[in-house]
Amino acid sequence: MNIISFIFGARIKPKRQTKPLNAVGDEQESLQTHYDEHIEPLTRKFENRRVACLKALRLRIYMSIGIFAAVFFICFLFDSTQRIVISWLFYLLPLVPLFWWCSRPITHYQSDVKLQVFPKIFRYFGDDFIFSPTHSMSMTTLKRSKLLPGYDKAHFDDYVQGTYRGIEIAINELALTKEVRRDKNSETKTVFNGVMVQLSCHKKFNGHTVVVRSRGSLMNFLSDSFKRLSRVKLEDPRFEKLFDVFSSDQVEARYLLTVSFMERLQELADCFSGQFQCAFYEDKLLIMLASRENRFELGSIFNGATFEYEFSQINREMRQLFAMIEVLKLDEYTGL
Amino acid sequence: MEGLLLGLGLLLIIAYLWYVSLVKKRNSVREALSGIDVQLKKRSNLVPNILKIALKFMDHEKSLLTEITELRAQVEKSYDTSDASAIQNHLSKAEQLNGKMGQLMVNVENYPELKSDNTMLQAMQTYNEVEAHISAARRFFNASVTELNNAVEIFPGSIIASMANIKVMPFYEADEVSKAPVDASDYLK
Repeated sequence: MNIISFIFGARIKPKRQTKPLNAVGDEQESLQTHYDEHIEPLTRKFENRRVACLKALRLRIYMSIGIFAAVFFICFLFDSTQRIVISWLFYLLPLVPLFWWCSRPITHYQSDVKLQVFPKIFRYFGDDFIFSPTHSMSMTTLKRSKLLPGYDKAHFDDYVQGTYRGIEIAINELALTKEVRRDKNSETKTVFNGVMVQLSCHKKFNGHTVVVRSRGSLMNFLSDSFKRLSRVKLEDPRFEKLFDVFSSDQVEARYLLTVSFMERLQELADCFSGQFQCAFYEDKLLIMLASRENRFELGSIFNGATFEYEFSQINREMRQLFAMIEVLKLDEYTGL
Repeated sequence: MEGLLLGLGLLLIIAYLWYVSLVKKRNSVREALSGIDVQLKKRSNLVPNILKIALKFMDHEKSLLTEITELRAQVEKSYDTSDASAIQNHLSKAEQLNGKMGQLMVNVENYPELKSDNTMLQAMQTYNEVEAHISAARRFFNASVTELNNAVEIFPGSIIASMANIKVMPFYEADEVSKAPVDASDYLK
């Protein structure tokens, strides 16, 4: 079913099977076991809800079309008989509350899935994994990282927290916007969109070190500091081309950014097309990953509520983030 | 005449700024050197504890332990931070101590009782941590020395440096033993 056939009255019936689980290598079996044990029991209930929700949606769409046509007709009558010039925007005004009213069943359904099903999906990665669409990282803590660009508004989305290979991990989607004045108008510009990943570290440190995208040699020639941190010139020319490092403690920055760690950061930057910055502060490593991808989302409402697609997708996204721990070898006491 | 005076004034300003940058670089080297000394002090404080534990088990390594004690005393001696040869001597002693401590850590492998001793394990872990800090301090020092030496040796910095008595500084290099190639067959017997 698609949106067109849905509007034109295609029969809405429960679906019990969509796509099979999708995992790389030998993970398929464990994924299936977790699915059968924790997620499958919820599917029947949510499939019935999905069907009810689609029926409600269609009914509301039909009613909305009727209401809109009536309002349009009345406005048109007023316009032609009373000779009142009504702006075309006024004709479209009823669309806003009607759209909100129509989308309510879907929004409710989606938020219920996120509240009841997603936490069970995330339990697959460990018993202490929690998922919350409402919880968020502390903005003051994030600000203290000195990584955030200037912004006016911050919008947090899904939040995940847990422990992977002994490393505490917290993931939060974040969008930062800024009001920019252009000519006489002001428009909202997105200055950051992506995920913030906070990881615990085996190495102890007191200072503050940030690894930011290279500002260019001219900028570095003109200024040797960044938000009251001084520049750390490192030995690796390839690393220096990609990143600039600033720290409150020159020795500690080199203690954290060993030659092999620099190699690993470069590897990670290659994986995420260079959209990668990080900060070591308050005994944590904060990674700022710019990306347009909206993670941890539900598939189409027209697909059955079996959550196999969502489970596979979340697993793929989480593996990508866990790879950072593996690449950076944060879970090993290598001393490097 | 005015043009000449203006040119001379400009030259003086440039020379002064060059001098300022040289002094900054020298001070950065001193800062880095003090960073090394802080870490070396940490290691010096740790060495007696390791030696005390080692003495209980390592009867056959007395000469090595004595050498370490002597080197530690030499590293702890104060030195002139503006004298390049004194710095080189200090750093080379520190590196020799590092080499001997490394040797001790390898020899610990021959004493299973010592190897499994909790206090020794903890001391070794702390020692490794301090070594990682020394290595970081060394990288900072060498980076600062490179900047200073480049500025001092390249014309016209060389003239200003000689007038201001700013000299090149030695690098903190690994000792000859560490540079020597490792023969794996020695360990695989």
